[in-house]
Parts: sequence; structure tokens; C-alpha cells
Amino acid sequence: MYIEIIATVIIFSLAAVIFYKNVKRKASGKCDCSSCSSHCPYYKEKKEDK
Amino acid sequence: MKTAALIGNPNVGKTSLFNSLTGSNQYVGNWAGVTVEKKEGFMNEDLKIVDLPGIYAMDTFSSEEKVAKEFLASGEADFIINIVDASNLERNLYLTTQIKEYNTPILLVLNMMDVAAAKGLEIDTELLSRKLGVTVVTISASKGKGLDELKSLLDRGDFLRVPIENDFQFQDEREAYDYISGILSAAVKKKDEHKRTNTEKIDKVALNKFLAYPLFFLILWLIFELTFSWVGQPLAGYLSYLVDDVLVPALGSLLSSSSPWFSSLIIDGIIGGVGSVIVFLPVIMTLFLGISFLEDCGYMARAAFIMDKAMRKMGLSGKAFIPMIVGFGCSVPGIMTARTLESEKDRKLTALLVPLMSCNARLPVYALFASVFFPGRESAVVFSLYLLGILLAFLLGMLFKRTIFKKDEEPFIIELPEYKAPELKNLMNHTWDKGKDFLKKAGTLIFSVSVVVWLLSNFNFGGMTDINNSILASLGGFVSPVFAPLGFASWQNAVSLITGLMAKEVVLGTMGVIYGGSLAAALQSQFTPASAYSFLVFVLLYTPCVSVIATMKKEFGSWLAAFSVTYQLVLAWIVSALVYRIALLVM
Repeated sequence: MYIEIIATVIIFSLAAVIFYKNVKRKASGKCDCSSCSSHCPYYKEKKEDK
Repeated sequence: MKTAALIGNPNVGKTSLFNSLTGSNQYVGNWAGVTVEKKEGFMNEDLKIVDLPGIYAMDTFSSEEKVAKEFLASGEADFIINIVDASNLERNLYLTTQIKEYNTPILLVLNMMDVAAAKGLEIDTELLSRKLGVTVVTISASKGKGLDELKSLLDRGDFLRVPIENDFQFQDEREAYDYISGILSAAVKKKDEHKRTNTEKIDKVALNKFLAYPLFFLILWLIFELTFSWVGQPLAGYLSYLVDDVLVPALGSLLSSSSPWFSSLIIDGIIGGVGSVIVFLPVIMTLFLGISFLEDCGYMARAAFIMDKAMRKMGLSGKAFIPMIVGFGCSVPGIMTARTLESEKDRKLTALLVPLMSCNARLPVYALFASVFFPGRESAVVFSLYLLGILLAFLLGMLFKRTIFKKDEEPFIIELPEYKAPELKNLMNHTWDKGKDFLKKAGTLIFSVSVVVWLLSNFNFGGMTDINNSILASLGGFVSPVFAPLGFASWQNAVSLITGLMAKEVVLGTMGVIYGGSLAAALQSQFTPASAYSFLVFVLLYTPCVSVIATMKKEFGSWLAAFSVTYQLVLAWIVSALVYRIALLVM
């Protein structure tokens, strides 16, 4: 039972952090579309960052 | 340290040359307009090279031309490297005559000499140099020919001693082109035995007045067949089997001794949500492979060219087709790419229409519904949705053109690159990038939303409860009557559409959590073929996601963002209701 509670807490915390980061990212108009095209300004920026 | 401005028409190998000179690793696309912002690189510690966006002339008003003009006018450049397509000098030299006005030494780089030779062109570079008053050097950047000579010339800087004279003061475009024709008639000879290049031969068919459109739709159809009948969907079926019939039972037996709520969180919440989306990885990757192939081989530019006529009816130029094509991947970069259009009205109109192009995120929803309700006709159903989006964009474009975006037509110039066999490595890299990002999205956003949805669907303010008394059921029940005329009024569907505002894949993730078990079987009890198609139409047309709204706001302000959301919701509702009524009569 304790393991289940600990695992649940970890899952919920992780989900909350990821959800918050995603909402923040999306609300700022940043792209996370994973549909990269060579004409996309974000794609080029991402490539350069790498 | 000296600074060189690298300038030229789009798709003349400017970025390739920049990479060769500076070692910078930029993406090189077979499409006009790859560079939008200016980029800097260093050839050595004495020479900085600034790669300016590809432009055709200095007298129009696109964002790229503004960037190039501002940089040249700033006086930062000690000299200009003007790269031109040697096989198409007449058009390329128009820009050269304009940059002469900046009274800066020019090094004219004739690229694609191999293509010019294949076209039977012999260029007298000395005469060209004398007539234009610039230093001329020849290269074939893609084959690495002439680059060493160019680098050594840049090191020596001899061309900086050529006197700067600008005799070019033309009254209009015609006068400039007449002058260029005069120079070229003396400096360029065409061999009689010129054979048609492969590109010319292919274009005879691909751009043929009667064949162009059927061929375009045939190519799209083949990509859909590849995705839904031959490769993508069958592979998705195997993945689905692995998740539903192997992973879930295995986890079920592993968690058999754990608490029911914990088992439900893992199996119904996480696996149900993430698993129902992740199985469509092969569909996404196959479609993207097809699109990458068209893009890399040079056909996409032709598609924009042949769509020019149709786009003009919408009040847009063929150039706006490029953001639309990008919109098939995702509306966010589609709207961003609209920046390359010259007029403000074009940019706004394009941004409003881009979300009607069916983005990749909707694909898993289409793929599942089509396989459940229209087996054997998946390609046709999904193809019809894509066409519906295009048709509505066309009709709304005409409506907006006659109402809020009245404007004059502008000429459309697009570079048609040489056809080339796409590099397998490039295709695989693009496709893998896509797959990797999709997996990342499933492991982050879809995972987090699935956990939130599981929580809200198993609890109310009194604690853990039956799903029909949950917070999610209350929220969905409040909204669901709106969807009654559309044929899918259950609270589960309403909630899925609301969470879909985070990202369209989340629609499936949410359904996976709420319905639990086999999603395909659950959907059959919730939808009829008519209501399923109506649901797909709604998913196609309603606001894509929060990112799109934020991008619209960032690019065009709150008013247009609000207008975009409102008109898409109204449009989605009206068209879905109509489709449902018609489908009831037909099915």
C-alpha cells in the first residue's frame, strides 16, 4: 500500500510539472508540433541550437 | 575584420555556399525561401559572412527584403558576395543591378555552372565582369567545384580594388531587364545541341495545363494509400495489438494484487491514455516520410506554382500555398511562415485559413475512427477530410477577400528548383525527428493530460466516485447538449473535444482514459458512422490548440486571435451539423 501511495505521488507530481510546463509553453505561442518543415522558422532555430 | 554580405535570389545555393565557407551547419532545403532571418558565420578570423534572406529584388515589401535592405543600408558590409544561378542569369542579375546602388564592392559568384553547362550555356565571365563592373567567379557549390578558388580569392581580397562604379539608374523594371538582356546576348552563348534536362522533361508533364491538377491529387492520394492502406495503418494495427492484447493483460496480472484504484491509474489512466495515441506512430511517420519526399525532390514548389490560380480566387497568391502546406504538418509554423508574404492582408488572411488545413495532430483521431467505422475505406475518408479543409479554406478565402480583406492582386514569383533524388539519409532523419518528437509528446503532454483526466474522471468533491458522477462528467454534461444536433452529445465526447484544445492527439488520449478497455469497441457503442464522420469534421475544423491561439495573438494581436477561435468554432458546428444531417440521409 505504501509503495502504491509513493508511486502515485510521484506520478501525480510528474504529471503536474509536465502539464504546467506544457501549458506555459503553449500559452507563450511556442511550437511543440513535432511537424518540422524546412520552411519553419522554429525548425531552423531548433536545428541551430543543436 | 572584414564583413561580407551574402545575397542572392532564393534557392540559388546561398545557404550551401554559406555552409561551405563558414562550416556552419544549417538546414539546406530544396525550396525557395529557406533563410528568413540573417545568419552570421566566420570563414576565418579576418572574414565574417552574413547570410541574408533570399530575395528577387529590392523594391517589394516582404519581411526578407526588409532584413536584406536594412543590413546593406547600415553600411556594415565591406563587400557583397552576390551568388547567382548561372543557368538563369537574366532573372538573377536584376538583383545585381539593384545592389550596385549601395556602392559596395561586389563579388559575383556564378553558381550551378554544371546546370548551365547541361543547358548548353557558355558564359564569357570576363566580358560579364567588364560589363557589370564586378569581379566574377564560377562555382558548382553542390559538387564542391570552384570553392577553393573562391576561398583563396576571398583571402586575397583582390576584388576589393575594383573601382566602384554604378551606371545602373533605371526608370523601371523593363529598362533594367533590357539592359541585362543586352549584356547577356554578348556574354552568354547557347549551344545548338542543347538537350532538354530531366527537370524540363518532368515539368512538361508535372506543369502541363491539363495534367498538373490530376497529377497533384494522384500524388496526394498515393501518399494517403501508403499511410492508411499499405504501411502506416497496418503497422499501427500491430502496435495496437501489442498494447491491447499483450501489454495491458501483462500489466493486469502484474498489478492483480494491488489496490483497484492503483491498477486503474496505471492501466486505464496512463496506458489507456498514452497507449491509445502512441500506436499511431507508424501512421504519422509514414505520412511525414511522403511529405518529406515531395519537399526534398522539388515537387512542393511545383505544387505551389500550380495552385497559384486557385489561390488567386481566394484572394491570395501562390506563395501563400507554402504556409498552407506547412499547416498540414502543424498550424503554428504555418502561421509563422505567413511572415514571408508581402502584404499585411495576405499574412492575416493566410493565418486565418491555415488552421483549416488538417494538421498531423488530428491524424491519430482520423486513423482510429476511420478504421473502426469505415474499414477498407480509411484512405478515402481521411482524404475527404483533407479535401474538405481545403475546400472550406477556398470558400472562406473568397468570402474574406470580398469582405474584410479587400485588396489588389500581387504578382507571384516562385523559384522552381531542379528535381533531385532525395537523399535517403535526409528523409530518414526528418522522419525520425518527427517520430522522436511524437514519442516525446506522448510521454509528456499526453501522459500528463491522461493522469489529470483519470483524476477528474474518478473523483468529485466528495472523494473517489463512479465515473458518471465525477467532476469530468459534470463538466462534460454541461457542454454536451451543444453537440446534440451534431450526433455526438455524450459528456465523454464533449470532454474529449475540450481537452483536445491542448493538442488534438489528446482527444484520443482522453477517450482512452474515459472509455477504458478497447477504445475501438467502446467507440462503436457511442457513435454511428454518420455521427463518427460528423465528429471527425468537427475535429478538423474547430480551434486546433492553445499554441495556435497564442501564436495568432503574438503575430497578429488579440482581435484576430479571438476572431479566429470564434469563426472556427462556429464553422465547425455548422459544417458538422450539415454533414451529420446529410450523412443520416445517405448512410
